[in-house]
Amino acid sequence: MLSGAFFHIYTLITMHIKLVVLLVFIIALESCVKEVSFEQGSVPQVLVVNSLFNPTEPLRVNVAKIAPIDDTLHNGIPDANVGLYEDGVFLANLISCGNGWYNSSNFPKANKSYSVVVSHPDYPATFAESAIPQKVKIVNANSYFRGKLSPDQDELLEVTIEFTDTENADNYYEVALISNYGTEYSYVVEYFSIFNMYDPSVLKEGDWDYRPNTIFFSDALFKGQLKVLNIDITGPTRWNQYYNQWEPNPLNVILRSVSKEYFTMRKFWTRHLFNQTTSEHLADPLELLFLGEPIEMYTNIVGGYGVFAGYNEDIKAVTFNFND
Amino acid sequence: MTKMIRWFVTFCLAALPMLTFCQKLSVYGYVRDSLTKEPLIGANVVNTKKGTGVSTNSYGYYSIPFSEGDSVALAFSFVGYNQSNYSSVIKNNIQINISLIVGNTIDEVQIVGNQSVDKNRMSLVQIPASKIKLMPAILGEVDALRVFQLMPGVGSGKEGTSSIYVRGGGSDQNLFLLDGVPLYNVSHIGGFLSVFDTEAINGVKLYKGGFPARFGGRLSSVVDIRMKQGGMGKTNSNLTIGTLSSRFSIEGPIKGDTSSYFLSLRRCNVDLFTRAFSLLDSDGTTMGGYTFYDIYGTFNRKLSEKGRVYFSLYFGRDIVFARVNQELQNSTQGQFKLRTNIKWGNAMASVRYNRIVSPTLFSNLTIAYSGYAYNTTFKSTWGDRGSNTSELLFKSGINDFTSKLDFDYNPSSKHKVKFGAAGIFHIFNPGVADYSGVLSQSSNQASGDTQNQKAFEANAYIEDEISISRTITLNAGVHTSSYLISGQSSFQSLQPRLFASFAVNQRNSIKASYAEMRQFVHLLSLSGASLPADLWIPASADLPPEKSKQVALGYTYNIPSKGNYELNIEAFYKTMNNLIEYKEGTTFFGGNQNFKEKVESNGTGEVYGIELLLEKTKGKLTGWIGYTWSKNNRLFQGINKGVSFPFKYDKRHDFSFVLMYNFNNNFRVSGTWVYSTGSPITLAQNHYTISGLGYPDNYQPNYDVHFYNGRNNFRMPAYHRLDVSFDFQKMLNKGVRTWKVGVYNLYSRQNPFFLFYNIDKKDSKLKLYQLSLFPFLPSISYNYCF
Repeated sequence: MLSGAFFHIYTLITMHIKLVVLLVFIIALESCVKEVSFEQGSVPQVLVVNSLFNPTEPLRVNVAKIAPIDDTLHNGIPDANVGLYEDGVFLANLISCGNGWYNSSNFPKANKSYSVVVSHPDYPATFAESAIPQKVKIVNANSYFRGKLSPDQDELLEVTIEFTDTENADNYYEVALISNYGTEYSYVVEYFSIFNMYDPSVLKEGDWDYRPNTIFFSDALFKGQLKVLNIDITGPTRWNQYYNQWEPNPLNVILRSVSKEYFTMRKFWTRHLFNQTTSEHLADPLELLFLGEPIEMYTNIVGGYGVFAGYNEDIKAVTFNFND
Repeated sequence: MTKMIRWFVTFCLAALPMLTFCQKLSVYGYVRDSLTKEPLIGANVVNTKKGTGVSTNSYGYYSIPFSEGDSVALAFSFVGYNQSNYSSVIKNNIQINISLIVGNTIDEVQIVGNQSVDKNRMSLVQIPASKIKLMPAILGEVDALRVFQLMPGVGSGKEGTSSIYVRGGGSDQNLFLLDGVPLYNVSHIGGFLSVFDTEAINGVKLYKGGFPARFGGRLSSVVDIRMKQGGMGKTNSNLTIGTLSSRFSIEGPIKGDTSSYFLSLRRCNVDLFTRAFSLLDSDGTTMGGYTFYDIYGTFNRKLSEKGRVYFSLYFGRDIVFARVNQELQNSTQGQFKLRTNIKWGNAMASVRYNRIVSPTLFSNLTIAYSGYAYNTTFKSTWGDRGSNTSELLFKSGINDFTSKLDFDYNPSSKHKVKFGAAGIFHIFNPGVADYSGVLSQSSNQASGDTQNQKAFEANAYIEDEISISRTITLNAGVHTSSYLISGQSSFQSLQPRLFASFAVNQRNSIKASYAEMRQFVHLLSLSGASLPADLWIPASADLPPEKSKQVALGYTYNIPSKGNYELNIEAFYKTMNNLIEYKEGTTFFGGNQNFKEKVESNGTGEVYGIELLLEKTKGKLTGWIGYTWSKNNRLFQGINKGVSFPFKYDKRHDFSFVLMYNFNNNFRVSGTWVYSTGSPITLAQNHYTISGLGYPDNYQPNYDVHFYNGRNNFRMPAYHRLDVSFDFQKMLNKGVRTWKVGVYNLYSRQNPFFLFYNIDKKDSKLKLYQLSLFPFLPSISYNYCF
């Protein structure tokens, strides 16, 4: 209840300040955008190593370099040497597949630690390590229309997800909502925007202010317990002739149990993206004015940049419950 | 607290020898305007035989000691007024009240005195009431804070704001005193205008450094604003109608020359446009807008020859409002109605009692309230007959209750002593986490604790301006303060202040100062635009009081010429401690996180620079050239990897050029041109990609990571702008009317407000763009004084 009220107040303040800012912009009568030149700084000569791996597919690593900001091509490095280790034991050298990708035939396993050593004659060698947490199953996933409305009068769909935390470690989670509406099984987060967030575990992280499109949190507040996550979302609906009611488009939920590296990466990325100086902010004067200072992206690559992190995941269709 | 009392007693004891000088007789009294009888603050009273003198205090009072039988020759002068002389042989204490006559406005227009008005100070900018209106107008409005922005050492922050950044300090480090009472948020409309209505002001002083011991509570500047007290002459009214605002003021005597009043009302006209605009834009369903108003009122009454009481009142509010009446598409929902208001602003009320205890001792007792409030109401109804309702309230603010006692004591011609003490009771309501509300639609009810934080601040000071010789003047003082926040630790401080002046000859002087300051409130602000959501936070154990030390060295040269040129050069070095800042990546958004989790504390700042001011203060053509070279850095352990970085308003070069030309009594032109180095900004110049997130390709296949080379590593393009204003004045049968026509940004310079990257659709390349605000903006206002 408390968090819900916070959220409404936050929305309210945001709306009001927006009015003020809009008025300032009205006074400006017209704003003007023009291109400005800038001197390109030096480019650090270090490797960028990335891999987010899970047990369902062979481990892959991408090796690239840092590029000038106006270089929009992917700067993959195809001729690096990438060694893969499991619990400190050498497994294999990964094979270059082009565009900086290196594949292995090894499926990483839960509760195992993996590391890579990447070297290239023109760059300092890099090292990274992470593990895959144990898979956590979704117990229940339900949704309801309970008559809640957003201030824009959109009907809110309440989604409830239940799972049980494992007690033996500090665990981190990420939840994503997926629509399989359409021909392909695809994530369409845009279709289902999360409107209300009441969950203390999520709010505790302080990331919700930065509008992430997935939800991530630690088990600090529910260690070893059943976790019930309630989310209010908005999204497209369709008419169900049998029940003579509206229903949401088919919806699935992904629950990822993630390594600490993955979790930290998501937190940093959310803030990093929110504060990037891009044209995204121009659409909203409020954002423009209250943009935070940019923040460097997290990295766990020793001697380089990028993220090497493991995760595990479970997927379940969300059951929609019609009103009686 | 005990410590503080002990310190104060020590100072008083130390001061006793000065108080016991065998002083003889005094000439004392008030210096006022001959027509309005308003006190002239900072008028010079010089004993021409000895070459020594004093300045009138905030109530126009002066006192000069003499020995019995001395022959007295006094010269009373003030910028813009004709000098008046008095001579006599002193046999008793004698009260001489002088009324100065306004000088010829063409030949003797003396504008802003940096040091010329008060020779015994440095780092001081003073604008007397008679000259405020002569300052260049911006959008038809003269604003005192915007005039200060044109002085060296005073930065302007972001475009369109009236905030001032003095010698590298933050916008919260300025102590704004209205009749001696602090105000918190002094900006309107996101900072475009300040709350200080020029019609209601008797005079303004800005101290950039060398702070006298009587001031404390902020690190970087003191802006001392005195309201008009109301003329004792005849009743005068003033009406102004402009594009941005309109105002009306009236003043006059109530009973003979014993009591008078002043009342001023100002309102913003922006809502007149936005109401119409929003109705047209929404087919009549929505009306919204913004306005503000300021109410100033003063009343004073002479109780006896030695006592006078003053009442001052200020109340101002900014208001954003919206009204929505909308038929919902879904027929079951009926009509949707929304009523919402956001209001914020200051309130101030004070009672002051002056008493001439003896010719050499002047006292002033102040009892005051000052508050800043931010209130929001939001009410919506929808459904059949408004069956669903949603109502939310939000409040935050600060309330200060102050009592203080000040004394001016002139025991001899060599000592001018000021001392006093004050107690301030603060009630903070940080507000971000406070709420009350009812959500009936979902049968939710929620209310929050207000969690007020209370603090008590006590301070005492003593300062003595000592004339060591005809050429050397010293002002030594100390300000002590004690601050106790409820349930937490207390803070004590001893802040020494020192100023020395050496007159090499009649035209050259050298000055130096040292000042330590403390600040017991922090401001968390991302925008720098003085928006209402800027958060004032009391000092606490986690966020200890901010501290500063500043040393300055100055040189003044009165250039021999008809135009009365004066050159001032000052160099300063300032350090600041216990600064706070938002953590990297943190935004204002979100009541979901405690503000303390967003704050990086224990930061330090280092600022140094050189200021140059060349003024022409007399003649048809007046004005000044101001230039500042400065470096301004911050250091936080948790920001920029613990490496020092430039402050967001660090500007290496800051140049202002101000000219005013009086063709005759009916026509005046003024213009300002400003140039400054671009502000620093954190901008990525490299990037890399994180690929393969494990999601299908249509959901964020890659993260485009920006790679930064440090905080504020990039400079925006330089800022420059030309404003002009034309005043057409005419004497009418019953008064004087003035048309003020002006243009802001005459050559429509596109100054950078925000830099961002975007893909150019023409060639698909990423390019850097700038967003600019405020192009060529004309304005007009009409003023009638009767």
